[in-house]
Amino acid sequence: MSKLTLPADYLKNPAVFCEDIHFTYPDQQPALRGISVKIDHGEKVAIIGPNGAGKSTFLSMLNGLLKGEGLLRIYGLDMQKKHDKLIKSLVGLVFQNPDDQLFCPTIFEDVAFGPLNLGLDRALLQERVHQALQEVGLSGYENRSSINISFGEKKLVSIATILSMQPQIVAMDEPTGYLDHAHRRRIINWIQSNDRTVLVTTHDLDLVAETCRRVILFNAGKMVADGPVTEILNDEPLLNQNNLEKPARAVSVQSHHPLKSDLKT
Amino acid sequence: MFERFAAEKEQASQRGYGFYPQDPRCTLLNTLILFGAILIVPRSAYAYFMAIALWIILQVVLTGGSLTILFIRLLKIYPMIFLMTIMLPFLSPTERHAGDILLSLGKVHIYKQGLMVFADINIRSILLFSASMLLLSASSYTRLMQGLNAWRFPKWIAAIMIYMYRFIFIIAEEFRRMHKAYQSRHLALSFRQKVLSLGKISGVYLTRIVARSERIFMAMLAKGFNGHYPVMFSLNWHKRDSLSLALNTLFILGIFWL
Repeated sequence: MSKLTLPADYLKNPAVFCEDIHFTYPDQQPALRGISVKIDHGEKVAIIGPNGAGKSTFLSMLNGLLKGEGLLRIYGLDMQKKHDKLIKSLVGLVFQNPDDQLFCPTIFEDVAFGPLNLGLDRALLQERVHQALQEVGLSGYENRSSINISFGEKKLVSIATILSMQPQIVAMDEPTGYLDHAHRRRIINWIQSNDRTVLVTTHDLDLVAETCRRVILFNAGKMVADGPVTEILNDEPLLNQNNLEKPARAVSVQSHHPLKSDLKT
Repeated sequence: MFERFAAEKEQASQRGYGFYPQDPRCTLLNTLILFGAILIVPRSAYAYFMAIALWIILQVVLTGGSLTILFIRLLKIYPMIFLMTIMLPFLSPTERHAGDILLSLGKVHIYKQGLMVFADINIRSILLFSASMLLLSASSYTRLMQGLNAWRFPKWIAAIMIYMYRFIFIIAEEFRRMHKAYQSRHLALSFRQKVLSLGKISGVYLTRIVARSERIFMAMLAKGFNGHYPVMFSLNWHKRDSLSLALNTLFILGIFWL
């Protein structure tokens, strides 16, 4: 059994609540400047913006990897040291480059690394690893080395390494970068099919159109826009101003992943 | 269920007969005893050396390890030992006696005492290396680290050792990438140009390794890592481990006693 104990009603709180958060890198380059956002449990949100907008920095802050200024709460837990493990178990961070995420000799060890750190009982470990690999369609890969699999499979294994921690929020940095059509489709299907809170930072606006109902637009560390995907991805001048290109296909309201407000009704 | 899976996973390093597979604590103790024996054997006691060598060979066979691989690895390491000791037979002893010189080649002499020291160091080095190989073939690296932890070996040293082991693959992979990039663009360079470009590459290589290591460390932190490397296997000391330890100790004591 996991040694981590979450508050009983933690899911009633917003998945992410931040108010006026700032982050500056050691070279004095400000990466985030006054971001305020609230994301509810189960929402699928895309964070878009040009390179250097602060998207990846924002994701790293959610997991507690980077600590800035301002108020940031994950399911009501503020970013104190005593909540560090809980927050890391709640927010699974999938890095842009899977090679940075996979460092163990076998896939089993990579997928088991997170749960072991969180103090999961060894007896439950195998089941957890199997579940995570099954969810991304890679059952039977346990004994393989992550060095000898394709880039697309590495991406999926990276996702499995955080799924094994059973996070409530999955934060993915460029999930479809460099992927072929088949692997891109698998990741899109996975995002669509799961009921966790999913945050995606990407330049792939077609992916956004297919998987998310809400879009947050960052530029130069500031939040430029926050709204429904239909509104933002159809606003060509706004996208052009922020070095983005309107997706080729028209963006319409999707029924398979409604907004949180739609879920309530 | 997990133990069964873990056993399957470690099959490659856990194959063996008789006393193997072994609890890593037992493997470490047995190796320590072997190291001790190799180091305290009196000089020129070749029968003792032979007995220890046969004992190591027997254990390599029992772990399911390959003697050919052991021999190949010895061949790789031996030139270094040889080069480090090659001058010993030519060194004049501090106290000279009649009959010291075995062979004279003009002004160069080969001394009996020097030759004995040369043989002694070479034999001991080969035996120590073989015992280390036995240690690695009897247990996986991760389990050995777990064994060290169990024997109260400082955790921070064990953690450094296990990360070094992890990073070997990453360093090698990064090297492969850079080498590929270099090969794809290097044209007919002169030797000087090659040396210069390789010098620049090695600087960039180090920077890339550091940057990559940092990103991996971030990924580890994101998964709740707190400085203590988690282990997946539980240690189980079986009767066969006690028997193995007793037999090893008795054998070593026996060869000295006899």
